[in-house]
Amino acid sequence: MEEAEKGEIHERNTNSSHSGATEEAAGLLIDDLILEILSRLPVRSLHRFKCVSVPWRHLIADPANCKKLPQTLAGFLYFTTDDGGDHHHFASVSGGAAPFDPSFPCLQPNKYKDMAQVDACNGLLLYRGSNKKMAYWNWNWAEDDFRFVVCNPVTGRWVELPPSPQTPENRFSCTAGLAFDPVVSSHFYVLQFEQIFEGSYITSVNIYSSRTGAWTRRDSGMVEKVILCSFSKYVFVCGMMYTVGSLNDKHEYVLLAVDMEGKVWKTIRVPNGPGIGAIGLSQGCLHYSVDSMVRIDDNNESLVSEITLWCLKDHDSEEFVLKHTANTNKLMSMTGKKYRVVEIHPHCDTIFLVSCGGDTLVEYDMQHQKVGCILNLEKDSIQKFLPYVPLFQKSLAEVDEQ
Amino acid sequence: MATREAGKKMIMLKSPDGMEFEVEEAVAMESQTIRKMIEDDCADTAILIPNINSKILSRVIEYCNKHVPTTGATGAAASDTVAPAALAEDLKIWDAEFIKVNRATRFDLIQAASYLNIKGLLDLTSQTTIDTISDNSLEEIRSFLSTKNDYLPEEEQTIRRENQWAFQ
Repeated sequence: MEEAEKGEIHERNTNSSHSGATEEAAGLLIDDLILEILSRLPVRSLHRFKCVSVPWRHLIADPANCKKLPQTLAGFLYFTTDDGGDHHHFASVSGGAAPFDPSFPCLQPNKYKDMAQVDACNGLLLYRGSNKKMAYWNWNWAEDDFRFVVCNPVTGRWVELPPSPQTPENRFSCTAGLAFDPVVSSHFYVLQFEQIFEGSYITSVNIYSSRTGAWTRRDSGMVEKVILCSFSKYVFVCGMMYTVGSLNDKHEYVLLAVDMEGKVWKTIRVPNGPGIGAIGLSQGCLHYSVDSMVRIDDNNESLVSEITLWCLKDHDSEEFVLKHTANTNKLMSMTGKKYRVVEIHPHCDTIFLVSCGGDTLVEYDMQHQKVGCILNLEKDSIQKFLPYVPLFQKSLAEVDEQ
Repeated sequence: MATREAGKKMIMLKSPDGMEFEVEEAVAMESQTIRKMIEDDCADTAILIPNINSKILSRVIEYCNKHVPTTGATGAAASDTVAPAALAEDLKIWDAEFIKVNRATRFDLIQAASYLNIKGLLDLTSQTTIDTISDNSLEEIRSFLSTKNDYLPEEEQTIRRENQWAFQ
């Protein structure tokens, strides 16, 4: 019997010829292994690598490989509304078809007369399903008998949340946000803020956790009296939910942050503009873009319009850092239209602007000051856009348990 | 020379070029593929590992030896006295040294790690490759991976335009 050092590899050469592999002979990888490597790439590198070769492009774009590879912005969900209710649409940034049917037949087995888009976060969508058709701008959800529905449109999985707690009589609620990060957990949260009638400022938040399956109400821990509107947009970064609210009628806006326990509350001044800007999650950080300055001439015509893009470097910092400034006169003179910033690309310093009148959405590269694609929108769109990055993994925790 | 500890089951791994490696079962079971063979009783006294030459197989075994949990490998007994964080740091340094190999060997290791289903080794080899190429130009990547650019110029322009944001 042979003896060996504990753990030592014991080799016995039964064949005198050594491995003949040369450096050159190897070096080609089969698709599965290339995929294995690509799945670890940062999303930007991955999409750049589509240009390496035709087989690579097919490998990266193949729907069968979607589950493994990081995805990027597919487009924006938005809606139009008429007497028949809300109509759901999708504006694709690549010009291709929507990755799912935006009218979600799977969500409406005649259960709800109306499904209203509320929020989108990392591939999941939040809807408000109700049987009473409410105007999209309605600021008092308590008048409605509704339920929140969270779904992943590419897998068709969806879950209805238990009713949110009854809003106290002196308060109202008109906005909610979805918090979900598949990298951290397959569970999600829904936050519904409550505001007081007198003064309209936030008094409390109801937080639904898919882990516990229950709602909890937490009182506001902010000193400032922050007012949200039904168009408030939500961004979930590093365990905190962010939204922008106003302090008063004087165009003073703050970024408000709350954690998923409803215990930590923060407010951060946002860079000043004549109006409210757009927040977005981009490259892992919270970004803010705003029409920062408009110079007006004697005839009340605007001469220069500037857009700025700011970044909150990490979630502990309370100061926005300026990344880019762009003069949008060129864009406006090119198209003869005025624009407003509405969205920020999740993976680069590109913003999206909606034209006055709402018939087009324009991509603008802030770094190179270049106009990108122009997306045509349905007529009379309500100018609220939800950026959508598909999530092909099955990770709607609640549904898995059903 | 120390005698093999009693109770430590040994497994023989054979490479297609005829080399045999005697390793502890626990070390071999770092590979989920081998683990399954052993658990399903498909493993006789020797297991033939197809497609992996002796040079690569010996490196893989070296890796498994280092990464096998406390109950076996060389130096693992130290884990009783060394803090887990220090141990993890030690492993990281060891990994960094281990992966200092040429491109062909690294690709062979990726293939071996994939076939043998050794997650740690697959992570290490793939991530190292990613760190090498993620910031490279397309031309550098093509040459690194021995891939040819088979786009027509106008095709490449279109696909570049579609993915313009990624080139920023």
